[in-house]
Amino acid sequence: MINKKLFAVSLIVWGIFSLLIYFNILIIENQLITSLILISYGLLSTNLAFKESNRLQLIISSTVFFIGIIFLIKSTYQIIDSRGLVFYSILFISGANLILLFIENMNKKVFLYSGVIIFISSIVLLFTIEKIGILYFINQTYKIFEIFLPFLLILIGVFFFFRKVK
Amino acid sequence: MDEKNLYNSLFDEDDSIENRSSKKIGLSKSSSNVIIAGVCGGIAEYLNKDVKLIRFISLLIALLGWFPFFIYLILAFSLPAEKKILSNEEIIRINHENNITILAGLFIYLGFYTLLTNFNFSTNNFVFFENEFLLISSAIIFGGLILIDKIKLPFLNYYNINFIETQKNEKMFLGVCRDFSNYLSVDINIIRTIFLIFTILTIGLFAFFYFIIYFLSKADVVKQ
Repeated sequence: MINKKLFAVSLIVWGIFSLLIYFNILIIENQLITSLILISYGLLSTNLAFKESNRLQLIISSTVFFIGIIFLIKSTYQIIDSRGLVFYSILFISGANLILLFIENMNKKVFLYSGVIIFISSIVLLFTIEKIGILYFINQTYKIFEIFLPFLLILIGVFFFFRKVK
Repeated sequence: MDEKNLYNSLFDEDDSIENRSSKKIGLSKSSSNVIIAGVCGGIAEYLNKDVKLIRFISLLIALLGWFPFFIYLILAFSLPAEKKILSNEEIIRINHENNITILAGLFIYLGFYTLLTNFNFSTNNFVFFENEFLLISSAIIFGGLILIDKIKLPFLNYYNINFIETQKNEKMFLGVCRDFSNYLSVDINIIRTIFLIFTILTIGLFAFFYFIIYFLSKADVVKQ
């Protein structure tokens, strides 16, 4: 119930601030407001998930929080290679989520080890990716992926839409 | 023929609890199969069609722009709510199914949106997201309606239900996705799809992590 209220309040606050920006009453970037709302929703919801020991909520809300952080970085700094940002974001978010799953259940050491491995490899890649020379390869892959993305989304959507849940 | 059967045969009335609870007089909102307000669920029950088909058609109509949303809102407020009593298990099953429908709907909608923008179609007033003012005002209205409990989004109640699906899925390769889906109580296909997309976006690096997680979990089990 608290989560429901939190979601509703976040929507309303985002709407009000966006409306103020839309009518030029508030002169800031819309992306900044979106990121701040995502961060605050993610933070509060993660706290709630820990209290309720709900793993799925934990994953979703921490992902929302990290997406907010990425938006904040994007709105504050000028990112030259936004495609590369997706690459690192996936690694960072996955690693962080696995570590959070370990915090939720300390008996599962596998989450800690795998989370740390993903985290470290993302940091290592951040500094070495240009030297290795796969940045061009990543860009090419993403360009191809962008062409097929709509078809992939529609296909996955239709598959899940008409799939019978046992 | 006993007295009750004689009465039923004369007046064509079946007095069972099931029929009493699901008997429909006309078009009404569904109270059991709800994603936003239960309009599609109600139409499906009235027409005796699969609710997924009605929702899919509604989703395609929604691509036309803002007008279908107003019709939906009018129907949501004007139609009477049907009273149906369901068991807890049934509510959990429907909620779970509806959550997947929301996810699938988002995928389809975003797919069409990116398809239109990729081919440089003018999406002004065609796709809902393109109209900034409408999107903002809808967010405020939606937030308000959720707050006063007029809109029931199942994924928000999902957290409150301690949903544990006993998945008897067979492992496809080493069973990492299956173990994750069991641990998080999520549909295995969602985990597999996310994993597949992440593998493509990290140019195969995620497949490497798959093996790492598998070997670490094996070592963890042996240790225990």
